[in-house]
Amino acid sequence: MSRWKTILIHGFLIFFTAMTLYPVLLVVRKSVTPGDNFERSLSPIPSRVTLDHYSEVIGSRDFNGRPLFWRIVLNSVVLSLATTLVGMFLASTSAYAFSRLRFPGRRMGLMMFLVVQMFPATLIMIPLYVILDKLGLLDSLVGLVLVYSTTAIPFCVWTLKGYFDTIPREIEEAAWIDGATRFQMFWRIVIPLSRPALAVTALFSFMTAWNEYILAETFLSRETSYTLPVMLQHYVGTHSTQWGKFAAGAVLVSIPVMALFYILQKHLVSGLTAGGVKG
Amino acid sequence: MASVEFRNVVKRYSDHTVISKLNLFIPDGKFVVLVGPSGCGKSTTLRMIAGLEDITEGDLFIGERRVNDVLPRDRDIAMVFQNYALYPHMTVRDNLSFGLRLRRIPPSEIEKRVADAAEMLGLQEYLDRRPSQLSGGQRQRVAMGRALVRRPQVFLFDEPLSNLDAKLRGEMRREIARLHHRLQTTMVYVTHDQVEAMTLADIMVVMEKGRIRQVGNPMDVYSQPADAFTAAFIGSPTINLLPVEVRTGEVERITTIEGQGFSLQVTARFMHYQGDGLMGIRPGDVRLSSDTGNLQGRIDVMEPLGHRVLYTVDTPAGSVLCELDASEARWKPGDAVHVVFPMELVHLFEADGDQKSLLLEGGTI
Amino acid sequence: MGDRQIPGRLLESLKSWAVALLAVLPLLVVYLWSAGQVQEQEFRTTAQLNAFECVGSSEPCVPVWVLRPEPYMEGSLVRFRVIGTRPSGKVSREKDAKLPRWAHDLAVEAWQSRKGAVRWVSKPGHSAIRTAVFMDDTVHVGQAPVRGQYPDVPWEHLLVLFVFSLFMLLLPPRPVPVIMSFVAFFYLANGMFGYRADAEPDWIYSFSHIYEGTDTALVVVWFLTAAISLFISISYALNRFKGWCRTLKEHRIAYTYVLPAILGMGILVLVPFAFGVTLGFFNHCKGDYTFVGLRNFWEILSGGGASITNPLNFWFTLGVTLMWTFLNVLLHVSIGLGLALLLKNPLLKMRSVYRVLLILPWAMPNYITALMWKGMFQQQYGAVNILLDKLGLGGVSWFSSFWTAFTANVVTNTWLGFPFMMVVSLGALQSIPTSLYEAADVDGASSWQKFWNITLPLLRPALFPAIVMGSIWTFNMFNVIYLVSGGEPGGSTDILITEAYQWAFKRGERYGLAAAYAVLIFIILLLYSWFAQKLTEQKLD
Repeated sequence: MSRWKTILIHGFLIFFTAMTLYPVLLVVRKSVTPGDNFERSLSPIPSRVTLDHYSEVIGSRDFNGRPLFWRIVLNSVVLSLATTLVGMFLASTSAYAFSRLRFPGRRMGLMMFLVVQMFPATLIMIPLYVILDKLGLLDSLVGLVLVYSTTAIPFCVWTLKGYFDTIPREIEEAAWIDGATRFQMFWRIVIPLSRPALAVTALFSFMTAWNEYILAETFLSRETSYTLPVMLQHYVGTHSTQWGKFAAGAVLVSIPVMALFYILQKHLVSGLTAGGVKG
Repeated sequence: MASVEFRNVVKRYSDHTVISKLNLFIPDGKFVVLVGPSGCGKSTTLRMIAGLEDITEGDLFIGERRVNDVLPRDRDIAMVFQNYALYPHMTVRDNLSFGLRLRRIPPSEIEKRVADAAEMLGLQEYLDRRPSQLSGGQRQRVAMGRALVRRPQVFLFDEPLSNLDAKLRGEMRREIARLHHRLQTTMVYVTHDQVEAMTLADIMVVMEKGRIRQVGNPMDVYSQPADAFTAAFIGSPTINLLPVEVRTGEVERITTIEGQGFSLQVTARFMHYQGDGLMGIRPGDVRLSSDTGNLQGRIDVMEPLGHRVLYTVDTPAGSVLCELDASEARWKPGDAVHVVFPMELVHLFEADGDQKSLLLEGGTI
Repeated sequence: MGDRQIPGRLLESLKSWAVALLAVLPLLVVYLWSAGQVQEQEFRTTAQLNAFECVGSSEPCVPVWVLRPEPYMEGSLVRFRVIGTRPSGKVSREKDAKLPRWAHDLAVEAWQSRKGAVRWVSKPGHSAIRTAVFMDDTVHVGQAPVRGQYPDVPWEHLLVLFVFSLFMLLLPPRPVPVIMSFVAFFYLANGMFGYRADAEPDWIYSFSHIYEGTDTALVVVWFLTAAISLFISISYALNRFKGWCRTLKEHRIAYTYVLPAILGMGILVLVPFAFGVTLGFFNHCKGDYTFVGLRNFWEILSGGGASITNPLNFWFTLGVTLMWTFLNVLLHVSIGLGLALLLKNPLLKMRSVYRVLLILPWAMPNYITALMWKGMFQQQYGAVNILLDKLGLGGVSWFSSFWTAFTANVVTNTWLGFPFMMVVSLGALQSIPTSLYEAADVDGASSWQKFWNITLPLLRPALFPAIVMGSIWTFNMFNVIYLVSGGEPGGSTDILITEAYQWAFKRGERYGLAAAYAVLIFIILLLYSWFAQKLTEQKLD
């Protein structure tokens, strides 16, 4: 490769990387500079550094004076973990059946999981709103857990099925001859062998719940039942523009999920190409 | 230890038949090799014994017990798979003991059996490794060890050596032979490799298109093939099959075999056949001569194999393979030669249908 | 292997179902329509009773003329004269009050029937019931307001539909039993629940009174049709049910494994989905739901009275949505593929650093991305405007005109979406064996030819599904639109999904209309993916 071509390629890549990083850096800058609004400056380096926004976000309190931020973090963590657990349990069992067993309705079921991804959330949302309203579950996390895990299931089923398909059948046959039951084959052979795919689908379910905004915004109205996305949106909602607090909150919320994402991203790629995208 | 018996077994997938009316008795303690080209149903037969495939019709017995509806884990069999099918997430020790643990065998007993198997297969040093850290031959040993520790009534092998290189294959083959000699347990072995079949088998079962072509001692199958398919499948290089016309005189009891450019007269014992046939003769049985012979031809290709030389001779009857001792090989490509068919080594088959052998009991002419 | 053929075989079975459903659809529509008619009838009846009460009462709710027939009339025609008006209590002596023509005509009608008469008046923004009541030799005429609510849909109708759809599941997807069962249910339902407006709808009443006054022959025909159809369809269903029990037993392990997920999906997605689709046929007003048939769909598809350039018009929004989807996917693929091609070379320095940094947008929660870009496009402090200022171009008020707002949305979503395409392309590029490029090199191909003849065709199997998936995601990308432009200016940058949301939660809780929107979105996406599937199959052949 010629020298100029190399420089040109690096130039392109640096340009795009800068474009990618710049908005994020501005948010980070905002989170450590005082004031509610952005500065009229393009430099990503803050002129003055303060951690006020962070302490304000973390130290926020509800009407009764109890710490609000940690309450909301707890909401989000519980919500996301519950969603992941429920989603993983439901998805892995059915993906196993879809991958390994032949039964009438198999194709219909697989297709259903594909088509369900096309349901617009609003179509589900209105009935759910009505149903939850009637059940008096509007302001609770239970409803959201159920909704989130079912949103995550179709993707998880397809990804896991794609991965299960790559595990040689002979391994299970060997286990069968060795004396394993169907459940032991699933639990002691297939599940341990699918750890990468399970990690990816778990990440996906977790991200679904951790990042979901609109259903939470619609269904939750009490401050103490908010999730992190709703809290963040309220900083820059129609009536307020507290960009400083938003930025600090955004950094706090993004760090755990981005860390998870980067730990698992290698698998994410293979997981996606193995099953999810093939559809 | 137990025998295995198929009685009129049929295996059908929705529309096509894989195995049609299989009848086979595998005596207790014998080493039986199912051999045939790919797609002949030999693997399916083996998997039916294992219980991995349902039986559509007929009965399968292991020992005295009809096992059609018995789960694999209750059949008391063990199987070695082509790709080993080791549990990748377990150590060798866990791989070996998995089946025993599932069967709730006491730990001390498990330990003893694993140690025995490891010793027998030379796996002691590798017990704490994962399969991914082992070479192909070692994995193969683990797969066999996993079957060994179970001490089953029947061992099943599904092309266990096909993923190994030629040298290792020979080694493992001898290992398996030694194992059988030591255990004297019934073993059923599937392969498409005739060398494995010839060397390992007490009883060789030649299969094609879901049917059994011939069952017998390997040497008998080689020297007295029941049909043209078996003759062509067993033996390397492949037997020469030449189209001929067979005429047997009523009075003289003399059979004339007439092919393109040659004619043989043989005294066949009680053979009454008129019509088209196939004459088979193994390349090692064909002789060449510079001056006299049954068929004139010209050397096309010469392939030295060390102490043997393989000639391909162009003749009016088609290409004829001829394998000679290196010391006799004095012809070069392009030389004119005479091909000699020793009368007593010729096989004769019907030209149509199942191409059954025309020679009666005793085989040779 | 077998799975590859799923779409093809499924299409087969879908097709036979579609045939059956198409055969039934007209009957279903007729049924729904007739149910709607019954509603309408009942509504009108109550409204008229209300109007009679209003005009005829001693304290009428509207001004009323009191008329008396002229005593000296010849022939059959009647003439009326005003003897007074009645705003409250007693009759006042305003004889000069001018009597409109319609009041006179209505009075004649009422006098002839010796009861009363009504005429419905309906103008935009105003509807009334012109009412004449005959009382004690006088006729009272007034314009009463329309009172009374659209009645609730009787739950029996929904029950019938529900039972019917359950029953349909039991039938093999063949037209004969399906149609037969429909006929049976149609007639039975009509017989049982086709109650009259003045009757209380209840089971026992229906059974005992429904055929009152109906032609006996007709009743016999109804019953016979229903009985025969029911017999045929039930015998089919029983057969099928037996088969089901058998397979259920045979594959019980498989079903045990699938059950939890299917149950979860069924309860939390399919039921709300069915509920949502049903909602599309209703109108919602302050907690009351009224069955309106296909009116929501008609309102949407006809543009709801708004012109095609009006953002409230469905076709306008659909156009914006399609443009939005196409532009985004195009940008995602070209940027993603371009970067992947640059990153493909394993000898490139800092390759993994670039890669890790470039997938950052994928890792960020997308609502944060959206809000972040909203800040970037802020008029006063936004980085974009500051940059434009520095370049001497002057700031732009991004969300006050359609194109700038649309651009802001697209920029945000492009930033958000290219890493996915990049990663997919990178994975696919790495799976192309280098020996192909070496062979092409030996053949003397230029790098452009190599891209066009090797890279692109071999990328297609991986890229095509990713594009289909990506366009579905973009089509339904709620967060970016809602959080960045929020539909500004004036809802023009709304795409279908945010438009549906606006109808449901921002513009007077029109749940029914929003549900109808969502159904349309679903249908569009289903058609799209079906089409894409067809395309892939053709490519594979």
